[in-house]
Amino acid sequence: MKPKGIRKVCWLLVTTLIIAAMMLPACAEGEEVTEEVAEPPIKNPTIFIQATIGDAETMDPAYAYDSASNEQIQTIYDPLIFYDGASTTEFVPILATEWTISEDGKIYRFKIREGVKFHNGNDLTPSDVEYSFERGMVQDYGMGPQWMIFDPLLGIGTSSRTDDGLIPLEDITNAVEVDGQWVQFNLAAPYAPFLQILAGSWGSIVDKEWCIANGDWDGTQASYKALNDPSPGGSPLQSIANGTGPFMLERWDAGVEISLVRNDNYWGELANFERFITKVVDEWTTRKLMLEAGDADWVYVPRAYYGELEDVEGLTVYKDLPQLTADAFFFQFDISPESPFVGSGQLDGNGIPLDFFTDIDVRKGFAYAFDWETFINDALTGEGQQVASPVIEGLSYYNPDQAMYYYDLAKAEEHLRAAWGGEVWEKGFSITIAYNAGNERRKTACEILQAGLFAINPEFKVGIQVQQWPTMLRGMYMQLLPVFIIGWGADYPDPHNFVYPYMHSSGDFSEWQSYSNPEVDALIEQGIAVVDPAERQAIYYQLQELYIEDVPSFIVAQLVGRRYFRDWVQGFIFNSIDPAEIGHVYTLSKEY
Amino acid sequence: MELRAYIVRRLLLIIPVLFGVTLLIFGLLQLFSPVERAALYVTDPKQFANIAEVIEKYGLDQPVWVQYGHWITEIFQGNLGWSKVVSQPVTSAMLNFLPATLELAIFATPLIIFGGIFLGSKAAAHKDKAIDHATRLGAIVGWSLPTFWLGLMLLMVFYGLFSGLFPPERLSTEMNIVVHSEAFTQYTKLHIIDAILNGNGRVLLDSLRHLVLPVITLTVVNLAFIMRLMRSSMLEALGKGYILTARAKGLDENTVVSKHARRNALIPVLTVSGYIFAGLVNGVVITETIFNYKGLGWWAWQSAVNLDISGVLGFALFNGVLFVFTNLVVDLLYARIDPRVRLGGKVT
Repeated sequence: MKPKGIRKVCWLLVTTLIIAAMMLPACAEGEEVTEEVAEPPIKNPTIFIQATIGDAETMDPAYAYDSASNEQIQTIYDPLIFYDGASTTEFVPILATEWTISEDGKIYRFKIREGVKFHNGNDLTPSDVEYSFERGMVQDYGMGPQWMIFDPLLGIGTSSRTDDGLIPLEDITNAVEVDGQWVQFNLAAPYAPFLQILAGSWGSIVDKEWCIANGDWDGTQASYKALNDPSPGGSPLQSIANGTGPFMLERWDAGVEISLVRNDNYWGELANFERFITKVVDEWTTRKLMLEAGDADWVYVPRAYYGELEDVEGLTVYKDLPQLTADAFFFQFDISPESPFVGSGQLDGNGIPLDFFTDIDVRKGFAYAFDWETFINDALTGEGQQVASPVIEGLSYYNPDQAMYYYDLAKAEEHLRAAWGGEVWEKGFSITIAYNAGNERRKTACEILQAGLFAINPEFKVGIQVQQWPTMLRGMYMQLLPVFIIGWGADYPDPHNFVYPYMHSSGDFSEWQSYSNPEVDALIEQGIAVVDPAERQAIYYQLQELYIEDVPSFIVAQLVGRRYFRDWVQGFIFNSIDPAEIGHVYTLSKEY
Repeated sequence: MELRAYIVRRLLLIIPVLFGVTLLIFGLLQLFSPVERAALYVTDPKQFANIAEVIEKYGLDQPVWVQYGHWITEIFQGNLGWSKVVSQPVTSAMLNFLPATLELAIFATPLIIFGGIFLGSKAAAHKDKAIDHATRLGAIVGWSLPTFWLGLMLLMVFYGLFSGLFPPERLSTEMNIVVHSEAFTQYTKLHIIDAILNGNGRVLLDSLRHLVLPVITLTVVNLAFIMRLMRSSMLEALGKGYILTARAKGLDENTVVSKHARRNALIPVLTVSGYIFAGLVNGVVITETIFNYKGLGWWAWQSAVNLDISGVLGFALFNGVLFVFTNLVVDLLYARIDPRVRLGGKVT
């Protein structure tokens, strides 16, 4: 290797790069001249490009339970019915042209649209519809959305797996039947949100023939056994798709981007874009620059960065969009003796006993010590509202007049003086509460609670610990955490989807808290089983009241969010239950 | 013949290295409880109810040797597992993310190494002159710049301010569609090479344009090291007696510096260069993330933070092989550069 050779190679590379760099601006300048006019030309007019975080996990509608996958699937596949615009209770026909519900609320019948073709050219038939739901239940991925199909069809809490093995295949196949051009669902008991569930991406209709050809469930017991509860990536439809929707899957570069192309044989009006591209861009500044440059039409904007886009030109912003999600502080009623977060484990001023939060005065004292106003104004920059219970605004039977806790140190003191026969007040306590790393909002909430309690009595010592998700998960599961802050996003916009996890003794959160109130359990079970709206309203109003009375947890805020689009994007419809932040890409267009 | 035996012996080292590395990772895994490791599957409160099921299904609570045994058995069947963070088999994740990283490494490594050698020897040859001071300053600045800061700055200026001059990602939307069209064959998935093979100038220019900023970022940050190393090593060489002899016998300064001094000064630089190249090939997390130039580094980082064990192990295997190979190549190059070094353990 001669030194001159080294030098030559080096210079050659440098000059190549410089020349390439110089040539390209020259190419780009032609476009720039026209950009001087008031409205810049629309970039990529036939393509909608979004830059977001987090890629889809799967293309299988029965398996998908993350919003990134749900969004793609509901663009590729069609459900039987879908929400009417912004409504969460009215529906429009999609693959079903009409439907009937029996008086007892247990039989739902849908007439299937004729003349619809799948992307591969196959005809849609009622038996595809039957297959779609049966296949989902047969697969029944443990971490997936199928509980929403099992709950109404086979009963609350059922699944394909029991301690004695798989449930009989007939139980599944009898739940959905074809009757001429109609498909009938036989519910185990009335289930008011059933239509809302059908409108989710788990209600997508797949092509039976194509599924079987690709190795999916063929109707036999053997195939049921083989395909039940697949490991990640184990579904035959993991990375392929064949729906009836307005877009078709063109390419999925997992981790990088998903490209959909327009379905030119769509049964309805064709979509406005030839392509719909979703890019996964982890770094916020990169996404922001892409939006500013017009290389993305919408980007995911974390709440903390709303301010950075305040003065950016060429954007359309939609504000105050209520989110169907609610963070809460959860109290642990039965702390594990192994918990490192309870200090001495006794009420001696250096810790708390393991059953500390079973005293309702402690819980009420904590709730009154939380300064909602500061939290909403500072941590949420005003973009949130206080709500009384998990039945948040936007869900049916939300009671806007429900009394709630408020920041009142005198009341907090009153309850904490009464707690544990006055011992809490006298000796003080010391605990540690936890939030998951990266969530600044929850961190601030912890700090506000800490400050409130300290202000009442300097002997009330609250430590705050940031934990990575795996650690926090373990802390919650092993009941190590005395108090933790976490939240839930809606699957479907019905109060049942919230009261169950937050209040029922078998609910996701309350079971871990060891919270149990038989009256609450009975009301929740009754609420989902009755059909009459007035009766349901009475039940959910009562549950909201009970939540305040019992304080198993308290909601810190319901968030409202924003969406930032390029100003050439038109047609955004906000529906609070939509997994896609851009709404349905089908309604969007790019024009001035 | 001896050389071949030497190479074979060195390559056989891969087996114990890989065994050691994977065993170490499995050992470290035991620091996480089964519930923590279930977090890979339980990413949302909606999945809380299934934790026990997940632990049982994936055997997360089994003894470490049982889990390692399962993994090894799968490996021998050619199955590296499923990379959940990118929803694809580990093997295809590696194949899909390697090209982007290789592209960066192929462009950045020569710039770093040859640029560093060139500037370093210039600085040494002109010790305490203007060029020495200038490169020293450059080295301090380059070495101290945090990658994320430099990367973001470059992006803000050359993409933000100059309206899209050097954009992030690997290709523009338009060219990406071309690359994935039927008319374009992806032989290597290295866009530059594919563009040349397809004779497509627009794709070539577009991918070069997307390479500029990440390559500059990597070069600035890494060049300083090689440059300073070369300088000190060169100064040492220039002080040797044979240089005095060379000068005394009337050789021109250029020959003295580039033939006699530089060649002898290259040995330590070569060692480090090997590691720099290997370091670039196994991915550069920050650069890949900022420029959304997704390669192995980004994937490995995602796997690690999500405790995606199959991904981490797959990456470790790749790394083990990579480093054994790099070391071998560096050793072979020693002999090429310095005839005094003889491989195979015998002095001839």
